[in-house]
Amino acid sequence: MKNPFDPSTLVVGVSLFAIILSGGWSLHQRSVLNEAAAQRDASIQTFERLSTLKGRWGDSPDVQRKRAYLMGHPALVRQEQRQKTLLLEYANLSKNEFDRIVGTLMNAPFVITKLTLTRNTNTGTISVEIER
Amino acid sequence: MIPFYPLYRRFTTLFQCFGKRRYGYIDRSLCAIPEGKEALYIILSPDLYRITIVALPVATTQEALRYAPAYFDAGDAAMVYGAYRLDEGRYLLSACDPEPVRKRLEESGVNPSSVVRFVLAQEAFGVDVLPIALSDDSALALSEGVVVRLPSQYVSTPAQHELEEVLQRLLPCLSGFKANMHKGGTATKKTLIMSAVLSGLIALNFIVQGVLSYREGKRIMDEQEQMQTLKHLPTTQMELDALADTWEKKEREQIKLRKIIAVFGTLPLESNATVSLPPPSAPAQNGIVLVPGSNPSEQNLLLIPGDSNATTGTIGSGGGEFVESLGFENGVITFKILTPSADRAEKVRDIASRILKTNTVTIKETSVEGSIQ
Repeated sequence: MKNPFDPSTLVVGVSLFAIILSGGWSLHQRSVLNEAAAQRDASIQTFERLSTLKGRWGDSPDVQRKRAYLMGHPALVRQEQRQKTLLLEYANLSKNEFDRIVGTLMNAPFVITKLTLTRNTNTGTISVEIER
Repeated sequence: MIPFYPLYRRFTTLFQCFGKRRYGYIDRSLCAIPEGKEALYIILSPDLYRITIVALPVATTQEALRYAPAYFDAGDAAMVYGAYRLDEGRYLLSACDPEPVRKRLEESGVNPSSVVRFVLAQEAFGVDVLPIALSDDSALALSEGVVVRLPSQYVSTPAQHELEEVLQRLLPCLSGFKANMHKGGTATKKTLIMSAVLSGLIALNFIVQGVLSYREGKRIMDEQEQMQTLKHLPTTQMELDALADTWEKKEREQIKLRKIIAVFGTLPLESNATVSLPPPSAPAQNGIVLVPGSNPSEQNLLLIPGDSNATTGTIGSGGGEFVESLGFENGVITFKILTPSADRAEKVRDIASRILKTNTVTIKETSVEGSIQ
């Protein structure tokens, strides 16, 4: 058997060790890079999805205008700003007013967390909680 | 010993003679390596090579060398041949088999690949120092112009010099020869150096690749962290996914709420029948926002310009049959429809179950109640 401390054995051994060590480290760094890149891509994708959703249900000028209409309606009997929501209650609504408010709520991208529509023969009431 | 060297060889080797040459000789033949040192030049004993003096009608040693294999007829052995010009038309040809030399060197503890050149005893010693006494009771002597190794008793003239002594005054310019002393499969020093250099380059390449990957990875991670900090996003992908999923769920619920309320407008209630729904004249205009996710080209059932509205038929119209209440909380929609009679309530219940696709619709006297999830 060849002497393990023979210079040629040592040279070959050290060279192999250096290659394996550096190669292993390089591969590890490459996998870390790939992982980071994949994570970044996934984050960007999710962020874009989130941005689209938030943009779709966000506070656009049109939404602000409609919110102002809802908050300034003469039949508004209760308005309460909560931590994340806004509670609006309307009473004694005529048929047209009732329809207009419901139409405004349904056709604007308000995130409605709670809604109660009631009516009797002549008047209606609306209680709605929307995310701010 | 060999009297006629080509002039150029003398010049080329002269420098080496006074340079860093170091001679060794093979023990039991002619080798005695200075302790702790490896010989660069080895003087070969006559029993390790063969010599013949021939008459050749050639002008140069190079030409003479071409005839050497024929004179020695060594078969397939990888011999190393040499040719020395003695005088006009007379040459001394030598042949050496490297294999026994290599074995002899290994037995003597010398790395064969460390030997730069081999020098024949024929070439190394002057006529004046022969015969030379060797340690194993033999001697180097001259026989018909050829240095031979003989037991001391066969040497006619007693040896006057010891080997150690004559090694100090070798002939000044020895050319010797190179020989491949490497066993098959054994790497030469040069190969090892080249291998080490190549390995170093490969390792360096790996290291550079690794460093570049590390830097790029760090840059990506920093960039991502910065983006998340700036946009107040969660730090982990799972949290970000959860947030996006929550928003998607929220959107699905909102669209569902709007669709179901729109469906209420299509229920064949008496109140709906009495109120005709004019088509939308200007959808998606005047601040009208369509239900998210719906097709803008489709008729918008929820908002109709003017005093009429899709919800007009659902809630708020006159008559004895109408939706009295509609609630939404935690994704569940509850409703209550008033009807004029129990029979009508039965019919409305069936219609509501079918259209709203729910089996939770119940009748309480003349009212129909249910929920949709």
